[in-house]
Amino acid sequence: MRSGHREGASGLGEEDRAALTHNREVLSGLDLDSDTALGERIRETLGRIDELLGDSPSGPEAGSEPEAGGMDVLDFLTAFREAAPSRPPDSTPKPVVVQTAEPEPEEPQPDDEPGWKAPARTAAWSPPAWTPPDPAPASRAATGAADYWAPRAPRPASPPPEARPVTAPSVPLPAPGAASPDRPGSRRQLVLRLAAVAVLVVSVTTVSLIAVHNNDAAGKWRHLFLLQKQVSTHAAGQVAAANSNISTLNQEVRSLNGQVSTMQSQLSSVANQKEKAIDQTTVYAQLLAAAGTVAESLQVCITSTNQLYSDVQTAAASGDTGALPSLEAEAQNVNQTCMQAQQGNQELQAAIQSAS
Amino acid sequence: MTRRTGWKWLVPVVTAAAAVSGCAAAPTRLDKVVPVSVTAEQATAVSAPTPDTDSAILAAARQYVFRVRNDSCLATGTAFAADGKLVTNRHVGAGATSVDLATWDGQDFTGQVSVHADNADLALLDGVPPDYVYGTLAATDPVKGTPVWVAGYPLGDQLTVTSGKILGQISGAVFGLGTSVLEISDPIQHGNSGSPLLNSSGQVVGVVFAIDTQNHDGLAVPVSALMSLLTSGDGDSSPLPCAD
Repeated sequence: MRSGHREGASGLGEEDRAALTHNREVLSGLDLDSDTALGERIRETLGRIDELLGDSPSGPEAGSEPEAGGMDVLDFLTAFREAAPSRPPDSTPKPVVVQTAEPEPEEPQPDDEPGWKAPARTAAWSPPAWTPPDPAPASRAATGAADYWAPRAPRPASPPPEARPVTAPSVPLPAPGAASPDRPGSRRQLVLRLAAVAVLVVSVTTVSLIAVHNNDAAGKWRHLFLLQKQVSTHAAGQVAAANSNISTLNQEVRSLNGQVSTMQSQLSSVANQKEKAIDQTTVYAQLLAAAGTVAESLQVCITSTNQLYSDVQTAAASGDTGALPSLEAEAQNVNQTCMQAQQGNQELQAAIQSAS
Repeated sequence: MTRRTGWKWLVPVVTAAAAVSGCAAAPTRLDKVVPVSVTAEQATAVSAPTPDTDSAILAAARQYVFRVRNDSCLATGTAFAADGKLVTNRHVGAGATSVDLATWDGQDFTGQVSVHADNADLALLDGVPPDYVYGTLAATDPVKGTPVWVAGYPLGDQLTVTSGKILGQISGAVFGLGTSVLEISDPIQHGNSGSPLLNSSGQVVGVVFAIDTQNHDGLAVPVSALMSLLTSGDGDSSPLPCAD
């Protein structure tokens, strides 16, 4: 509320009157075509200002004691906003569309930037299915009540009536998405937003490309892995089969080695029997030769013995005693011959006995 | 309320984008595919069976150890091919200028006695056995405790391999020899005379020639004496009387 308010019509000072006059001019300059509550309040306020100034509604210069005189238009709008229905609690999602679509009405834009409009991209990022929980969002948006949480610039403590920006509370508020006045801070934020979105888009695109590439590489890896696994499994099976075959062959080799060893033993045995037979043959040949020698010696012995017997008989028949010495020598020779034959026979018998 | 709340919608968008990109993040190098490992059971190589040492030495000995028959003295022994010659004991070739030889599988051939060693019970024969290879001589004499195998024809029977170890190396003077003598624990029988004494690698480390009648240990001429005979070739080629 304004601090310059005074009680009673008689106490209405020049300052208050000037303020009321100014307010009346301001309110009179507003667009009162709509039948909204704001328009009704404005007309009511104009009537009360006229009463205070003592003028008819057409005479804004007349003064009268105000009940709520001295109220600034901004104060009035603020009071109207405060009287408006409150926004739903912060637990509800904050729609971007409300924030970006609002024209920031309480931050007057410089007149040198009349063409500023709210960026359309913000509308594109708003959740498409979100609807404000307010039962009458359209009317509130039309009256500007929807921007109750918008930042508001501090109002000067006692601004001079001439310095107050008449267009500051310029109502009616634009509809969502409509162009709104611009200022340097908003442009900077806009640029930042655009840059952030551009970076984000590039980043997401790059990451997506990398993801697709990596997915392709991973797919190739998986394919190669599975292929190699199949090959390895197949090779392992072949190795196992080969090992089994080798084991079988080794068993067969062992069996064949056993058979070969047996056959070699049999061959060696047969060869040994052959060599033994040769040995026996050799021995028999040696014994046969020795037996022939012995037999020949015995034959000589017999022949000599017979000759000695004949000589003895002849000498005995003739009675020649002079032949006795020769007979004695002959007998000794025959004895030696027969002794040698007997010795040879004994040796032969021993050889035969040892060979058998 | 401030307008900064309008930027909050960027957070979930950026987060979602990062999540989408991160979920698909994968290395693009396709040449480093992790191979699927083959289990140890599948990869275990099956090794071929390996014969034991006795069987391996017997199989090798069949290629260069021969049976000797001395018809003159009615004796059998063993000879082996080494360094281009057939080696046996001097007493195996005694009493003959040639001897009958046979492979393990009964193939016969003839060898002529070429050299009798003067100071060792060794003799060299000339002959070409069928399908044979030369045995390999060890570079040095075996030391005490060395595992050794004897491959020969004991009692004129089949080719046999017996295992033992070196008990020691003594002077051969007590046996009328001018070289040292190896004592071995391998069981030796008649017919093993001239058998090669082999180490675990199949190399010839000595030549068996007798049995110690006191302790029944085998006796062998060390490979150093054989190498000396093979190198010098000194000796007598005239027939010797059959050994007792």
